[in-house]
Amino acid sequence: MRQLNILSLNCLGGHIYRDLLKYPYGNPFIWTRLDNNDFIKLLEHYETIDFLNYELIKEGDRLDKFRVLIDDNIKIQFNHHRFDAAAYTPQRRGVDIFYNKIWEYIADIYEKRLSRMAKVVDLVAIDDWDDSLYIERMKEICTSKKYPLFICTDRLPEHDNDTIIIKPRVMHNGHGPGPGDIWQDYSTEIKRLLKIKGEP
Amino acid sequence: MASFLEDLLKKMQTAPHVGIPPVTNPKVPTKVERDAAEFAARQQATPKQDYGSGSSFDQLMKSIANSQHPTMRFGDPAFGNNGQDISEADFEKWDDLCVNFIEKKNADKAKRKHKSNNTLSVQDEQ
Repeated sequence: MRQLNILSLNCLGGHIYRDLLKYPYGNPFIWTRLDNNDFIKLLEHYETIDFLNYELIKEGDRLDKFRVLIDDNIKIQFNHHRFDAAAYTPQRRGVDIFYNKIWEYIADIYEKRLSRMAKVVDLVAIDDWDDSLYIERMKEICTSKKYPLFICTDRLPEHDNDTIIIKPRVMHNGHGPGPGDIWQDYSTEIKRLLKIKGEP
Repeated sequence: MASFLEDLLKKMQTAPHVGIPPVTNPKVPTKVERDAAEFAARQQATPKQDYGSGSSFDQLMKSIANSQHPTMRFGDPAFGNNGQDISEADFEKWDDLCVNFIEKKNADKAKRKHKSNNTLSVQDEQ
């Protein structure tokens, strides 16, 4: 059975895989961050991108910022993957991974998860905390490509059908929801888009 | 003959001031002075403890500074202290490993690309 392919531009995708579905990660974008423009490029050209043509990039003089540049065009930011000289094996602390060869680990998980990535997009999950123009554009692309889409936003009117669900943000103790809250607020809707039955 | 006014003034000067405390007498401390002295004595008797400015933040910072972690780390990967708890020589060693790995990966990628281009050109010729 193939893995579900959920695309997200931030940690929302990771929470859906790990906390809601408890499924193996089905693409290399899990627990990473993509800029809005890069995510739009990924959605627009998903079928034609050569994901094997990637380059690992160390940014700056330090060992803390690593990016993967896909097909000379799309940059993934590995913000949860950190260098720690004392970590001789990969160590998980919360959602962060610490390792003294974290660059090898990043290349390894990129390739492993890429090998599981399906050509079909099962869900695009967007947590809106940015510009509404980007959100509108992502919605347009998903609509035209018939990618099932879940957006948690106050910028667009609420919407609910078989392929697109747009829901408002729910406040948590006076604060806006983080990716870790959204999957819990709308677990039923997300599962419905993924056509998965059962209670969260 | 003394006037009525002179008599009155004389009576006032000689009349005893019964019931009025000598508040202006510098030898007897006022209530405010007594309270201040009592407070100072109590303060002196209390053992001194260093609470910084008295805020819990100061105490927290002190406990962090005294903890076994040599430097503070924060979630932001760009935070100045992250990754700096190794010597410069060690850092150079890790940095070399990292750069070598990336260069090897890029060389592999270039080889793959070259091979794939060759395959395509052979197919074109056929």
